[in-house]
Amino acid sequence: MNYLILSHVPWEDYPYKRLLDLLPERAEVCFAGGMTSDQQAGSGVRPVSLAELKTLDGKGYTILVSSPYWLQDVLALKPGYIVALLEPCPEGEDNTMWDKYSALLAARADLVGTASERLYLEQNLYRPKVVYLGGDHPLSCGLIRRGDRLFFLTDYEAIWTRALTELWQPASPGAGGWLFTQHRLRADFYVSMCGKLPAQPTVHYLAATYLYLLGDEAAGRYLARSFELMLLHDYTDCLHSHYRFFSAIEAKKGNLELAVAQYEITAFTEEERKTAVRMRQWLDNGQFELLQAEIYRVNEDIAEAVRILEDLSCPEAQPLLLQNYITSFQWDKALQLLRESGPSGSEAGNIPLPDGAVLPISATPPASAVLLAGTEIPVYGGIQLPVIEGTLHLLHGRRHAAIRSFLRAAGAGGEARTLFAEMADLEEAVGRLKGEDR
Amino acid sequence: MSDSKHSVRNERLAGRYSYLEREGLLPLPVQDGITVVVELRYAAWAGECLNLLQQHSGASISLIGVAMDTDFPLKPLAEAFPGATFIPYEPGKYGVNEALAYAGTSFVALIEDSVMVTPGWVGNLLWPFVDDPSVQAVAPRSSTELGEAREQLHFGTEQELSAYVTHSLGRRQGEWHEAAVLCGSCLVFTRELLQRIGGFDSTLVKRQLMVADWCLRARQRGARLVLSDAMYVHSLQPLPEAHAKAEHDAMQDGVQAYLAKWGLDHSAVNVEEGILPIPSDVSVLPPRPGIALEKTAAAPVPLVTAVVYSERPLMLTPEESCESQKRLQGQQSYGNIRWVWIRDSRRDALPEFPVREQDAVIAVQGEDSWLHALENVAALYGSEIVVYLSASADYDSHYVKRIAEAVLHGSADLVVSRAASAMEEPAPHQGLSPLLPLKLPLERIAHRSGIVPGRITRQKVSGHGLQLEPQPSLAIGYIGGPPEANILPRRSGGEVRL
Repeated sequence: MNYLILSHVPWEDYPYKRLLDLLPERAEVCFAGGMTSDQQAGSGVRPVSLAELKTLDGKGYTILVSSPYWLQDVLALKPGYIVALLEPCPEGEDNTMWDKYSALLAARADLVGTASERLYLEQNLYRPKVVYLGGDHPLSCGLIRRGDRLFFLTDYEAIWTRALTELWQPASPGAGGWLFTQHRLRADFYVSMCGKLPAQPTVHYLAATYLYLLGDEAAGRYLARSFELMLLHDYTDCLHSHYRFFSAIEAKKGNLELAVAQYEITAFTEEERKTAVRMRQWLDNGQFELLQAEIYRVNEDIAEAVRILEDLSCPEAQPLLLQNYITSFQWDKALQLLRESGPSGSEAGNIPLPDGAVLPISATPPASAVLLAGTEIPVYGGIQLPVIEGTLHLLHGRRHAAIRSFLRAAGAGGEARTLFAEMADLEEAVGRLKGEDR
Repeated sequence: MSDSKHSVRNERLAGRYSYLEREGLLPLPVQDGITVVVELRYAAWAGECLNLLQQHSGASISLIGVAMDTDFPLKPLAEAFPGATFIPYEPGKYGVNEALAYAGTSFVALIEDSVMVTPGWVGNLLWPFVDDPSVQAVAPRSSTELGEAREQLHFGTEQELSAYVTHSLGRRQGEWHEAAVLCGSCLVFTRELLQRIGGFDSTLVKRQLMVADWCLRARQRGARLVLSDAMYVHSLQPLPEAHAKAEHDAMQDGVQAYLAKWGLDHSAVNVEEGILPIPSDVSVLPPRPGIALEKTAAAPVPLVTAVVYSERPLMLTPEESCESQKRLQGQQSYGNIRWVWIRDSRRDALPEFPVREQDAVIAVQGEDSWLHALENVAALYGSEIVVYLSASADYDSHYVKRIAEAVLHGSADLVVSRAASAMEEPAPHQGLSPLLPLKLPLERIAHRSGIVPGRITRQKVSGHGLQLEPQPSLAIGYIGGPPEANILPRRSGGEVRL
């Protein structure tokens, strides 16, 4: 397998050099940017210039990309596989923009890796294939030979190599088992930490979170202890952050009535109360999958919600699925879903989509959407549809189409300046990335 | 001699010893080498484990690999390590005990394939036996032992591991201490102790419990167990799998059996966390029964001597010769081959190439001596089967396996393969008058040990290939070709069916 590295820093600062030594079935490894001859000899990595990058046949490469500002190039290359290495926003970068485009990059990736446990947990709630590139396991858990060098692997390195291999061998025996393995390792770590730090609510909460991801019923016990400790420490505003989590744990166990009751206790705002009423109706009507998916969604477990909704064919499922796609930045899928659900033959007012299809904007907005005040523009989860569509145009290099979409959105809300400023900021960030030592 | 001179001398000697050990120049402190039984569980690691064992254990090591799982792929290992013996997995049988029964050396090491060793590992584990004859079992420090010997470490590379072990050896050379029990992934013991207390109790399911139980039984018979402070081996730990809980439940049966066996009911056991209860005084308990070490019908792969010859002058450079040797060795799937090259040094340039301890290159001068050596090679090298291979013929990767099995399982003394194109002559001599001497293509022949197969000459027609005129008393069988062709009249009466 050939690999192409798109980094946010020059080679000398590249933080994943050891992971490159451990790449499975490693053939050619290219780094977009400059390298000295010593660096090339020491690493076995070949530098490629920006001009050469454009000529590469992306299909033969797995791209390891660690800056969201490479996203346009990644999409243009149409690589065999995309691996997003997510990082917290570096100093000097715009936090909002970095996070947004990181989320979009992760949504397009075949595999996500991160050394930040916060990002790891966030991404686990968005999608299934996420590797934590850190760990506390003290032993070696594998090995890999490269030439005359024998490397011993840490727990996460062993998981990393397995996850990468499964990209091109998805049907291998025990495929996907590495997800369980890493959740188990993290759960074991935090459970053991609970023994050492019995009065630490955060440690108990993290233990509960990993146990929940494993589907282990012990999650409830650790969450209860965390909740008690929060109250003991006078952190009384933890109903939303802690108590609501019980509803997801109960939903996973199939105790939907209890789950709804637990959610109702935490529903304060008008929107939350409406959601609670809807949940109660679904419970009474026996629409259990919808209810389960919604409980996962309100607990930010979008991955589980999507998993259920994608298998449902009832009309109520589609708007919920759309909402979950948009929240988790799976915007391509969101537009695809809208396109499939729109009335056929509607020509007027169609929005051209990045891949040449059209989005019928005259379609009736789904139940989860609200119309922007005084306009016909649907808004999903606080995001305007034209903004989603414009952003995708921008990422696919269609600047004019993006501007038209943004103007449509701006015409309604008067936000043109903000959208164009973001566009300019993105272009500047991309220029800065490519200008640095490359 | 003054004290200061004495300590200088000791220090100097210690320095010299360390140098010899570091450079791998020290022989093992045993006469007959060591048998290393490797438990094969992890296919991804086993190759490197065997590789490091071969690299760092000196010449006098006998490797026996035991597949611990029905799915374990033995074939690639048998191909990569032709000198080792492999025992396939057999349900209901504990292969380790079978392997131990075959151990013919005074010392035996039992090791998991998750263990990575470094230079000098085995020598350092053998010295305590020399230091104190009451020592009967020794283990190195590792992540799988208990108490202070339990070292949970990670090294990024083999170089980092070696540097740590070298440093550790320098600091604690020669140090060891007595242990109440050992349960780790590497254990060295005397064959004498093995014969007294027998094998491992597989009803305890979990490996650590089986090793601990064996050590406790050893102590009941007066053996001292010791931990080497100087030596560390790196034991890899498998990642937890999704079915780990089911395995954990199965292990509980083993834990209960262990506790009951040693009268430790209701004690907590968590070997992974270093918690393993043992009786406070094993000597007051009645001796626990030994576990028989029995060789089963599924014996290790028998040794085949492959006799390689070239009927044409060799015009190869040393590199080409080495390459050709490797190619011939590498292609055969059979797991236990001793390679013997027989060359006529008048005819062939004789580039030197490295061979393993058990292999040989025999150089003789002149055609007659060369043919004579080929005829009598079986008398020189004892093995169950002798196979002749021509350096210029083509063989498929299972050739040796196929013809060796035909000799082993059939009733013929000598087997001819007619399966491949290398057999230039048609199956020819069937049906011809028994008065004409039978001539068989040598490059397609295998025979039982302990016989002289017959007279070897050059083929008259081509002048290139060699042919064997078998002893009239030998029963000859054929493999390959149509089944009916494989029943041959026995030249001295009767027939042989293969």
